[in-house]
Amino acid sequence: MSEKTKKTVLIIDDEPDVRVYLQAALEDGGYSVLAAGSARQGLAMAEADRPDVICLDIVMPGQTGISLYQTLRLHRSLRSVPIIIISGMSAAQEESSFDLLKLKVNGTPDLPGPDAFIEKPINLQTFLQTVQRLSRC
Amino acid sequence: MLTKADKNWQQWLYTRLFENVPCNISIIDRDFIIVENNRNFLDLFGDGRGKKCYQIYKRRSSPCPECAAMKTFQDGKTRVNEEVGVDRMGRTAYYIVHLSPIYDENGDIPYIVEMSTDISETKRLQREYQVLFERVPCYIAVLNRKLGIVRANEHFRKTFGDAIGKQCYEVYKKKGEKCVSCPAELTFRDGKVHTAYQEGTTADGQKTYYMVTTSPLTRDEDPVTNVIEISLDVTELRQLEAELQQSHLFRQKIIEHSAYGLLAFDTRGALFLINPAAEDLFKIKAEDLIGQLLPASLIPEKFLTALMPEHGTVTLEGELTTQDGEVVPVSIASFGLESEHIHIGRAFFIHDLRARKKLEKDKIDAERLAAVGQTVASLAHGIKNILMGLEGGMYIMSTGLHGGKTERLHQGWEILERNIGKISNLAKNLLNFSKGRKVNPTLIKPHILLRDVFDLFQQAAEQENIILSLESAEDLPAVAFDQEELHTCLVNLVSNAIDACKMSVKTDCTVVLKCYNKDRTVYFEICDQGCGMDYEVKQKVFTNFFTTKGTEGTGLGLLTTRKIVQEHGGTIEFESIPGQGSCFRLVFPEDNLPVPTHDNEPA
Repeated sequence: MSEKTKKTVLIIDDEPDVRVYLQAALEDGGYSVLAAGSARQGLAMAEADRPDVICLDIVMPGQTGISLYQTLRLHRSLRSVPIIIISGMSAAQEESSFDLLKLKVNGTPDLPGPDAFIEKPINLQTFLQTVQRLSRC
Repeated sequence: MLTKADKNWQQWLYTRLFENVPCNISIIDRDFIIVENNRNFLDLFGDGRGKKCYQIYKRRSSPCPECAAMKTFQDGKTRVNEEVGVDRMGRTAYYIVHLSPIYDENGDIPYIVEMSTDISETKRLQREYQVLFERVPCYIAVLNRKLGIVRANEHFRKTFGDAIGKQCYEVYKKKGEKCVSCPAELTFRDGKVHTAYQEGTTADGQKTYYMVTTSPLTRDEDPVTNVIEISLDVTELRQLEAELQQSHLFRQKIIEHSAYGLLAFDTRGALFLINPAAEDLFKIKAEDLIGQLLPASLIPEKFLTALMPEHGTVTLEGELTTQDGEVVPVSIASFGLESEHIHIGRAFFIHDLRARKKLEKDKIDAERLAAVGQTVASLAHGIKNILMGLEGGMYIMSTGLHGGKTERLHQGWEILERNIGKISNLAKNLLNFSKGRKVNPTLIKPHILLRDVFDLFQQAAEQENIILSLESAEDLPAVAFDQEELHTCLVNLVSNAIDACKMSVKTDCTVVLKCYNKDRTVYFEICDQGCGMDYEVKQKVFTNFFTTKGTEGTGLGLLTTRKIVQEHGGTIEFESIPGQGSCFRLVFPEDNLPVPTHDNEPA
């Protein structure tokens, strides 16, 4: 697959090891990968390169994951880019923020839910299949 | 026959006698004109010769209506009268006048001699005694031998009502027969003074109490005809006494039933009060110790010294050993006892803290148990992230191995190492929190401890463009801390502060580390200008596994910190403003700090 036909996946995760892992796996799967360690950097990269799929860790310091999700979903040129939420969130997490997240995930009339939700630790095969499915659209 | 010389001598004698006799003499004629008066008369009334007697004696312009002199002129009888006149200074004069007729050869009475004695002074004294009798704030009554009241003063009459002619027991006690023990009767019998404490009833039916003294009215009279009773009303005094007794009883009850042990000793250190709670606490018996010095085994010498300030009150927490060797955690409030500004001793209020300490321990245990319980579910979160890191590392290594990419081998190994480090860190934190290690306090200077933490973070902070600043007094007194534990607390707080700065949008942030000692309390303050906390975060700050740091935090740091602070008898406070920063303060009152296990020289 030439570089031009390669689909681009943007990974936004504050955990460097996760970024390295997903980047390697996706590159091995034939994707062109952009990786950002913060919400701000992620938005800048998405605006510059308009990826085919965005993998977003929603639990990042200062709730920036959630607000980035909102920004992307309402973004004029990026709103149609499929988003895979990757979360380590568990039921023991703080409840109100969990509810908030569920609301965002399931979508509201103003804010559609994510295209896919994958819980950490990921099943690599499922993850790659999901990326493949969404990047085809 | 008298010679002329004899007559002259007699004349001289009569004149001397007339002038010097100690009474006022005047001679008046039938027209009431004073024909002669002596010097005493002149001194009292002025010279009356040639004037009407009523003008001189009474300053009247006409004869007196009841003129005794006129009667004597008529019947020739000698009369003695008490009269009130006016002296030459215009003052009222009291005098007793003796009127005698002077007969001439024919048996007529041309003159009367009036001899008067001035009794003004006696009258004045009489009046004064009367006022004294009436107004003195005692009940005074004079009784006859039949116990009838012949006189009673104003205070008596006002209190007991109309009294004259009545029996004393009727008036004092409103009863029909005399009292069994009657001091007046005793005085009538033996002529001596008697005293008794009596209870009476006033005219308006109120109970009244008085101390009565009975004595003969006239000295050396046998048998005694009258007795004077002087009574002092002690009703108010008795009421005060009753109130005092009641308040004493009330205090006694409080002391006896207090859940606090109470010991009080005098200035020599001898115990004079031990309440039942103190007996129970120390397993001692009051009767064995009252009057003795406080046994040194009960309150350790060091503790005792701190409890004996020169002035004021001090409260300390510490441990006591009971008579049977049990070590009891207690709080002792010690205060000086004073009576009219004179130090008379010291009292200890001792609060048995076993129940409270047990509750505190139970609470910590419960928190720990809850934490351990939740760990099963919550640990998954932390482990998931680490697991993902581990899987990632394995993936990179594995693909490196199979694809012959050496750099992936290195990269994967690093990831594996890092995540194994994380899991070990998580396990250590969990253990630290759940295992409950015994505090091992040693004497250490707080600022030295803080400097260690400062040195530990300074370089890392610099790399993140964060200014770490140490503002601490240089010579704080050493206090007892578990050095390792407190180090953990400070590391947690400084690490949090640096993380808060990293999360902040501000480009340059400062973290200030402070420690000081104020009012025997050690303070550590870690303040940052980082992202601050909103309301929800503040509410959850001490909840286990709560973290704002994504995969970086275990959510146990502040919880562990709080636990350690509490184990040192301290508290943790914080203020935070979103976007501006947070300030965490550890507060350790010196009196609450643990007792050092061994007196290490301060580092």
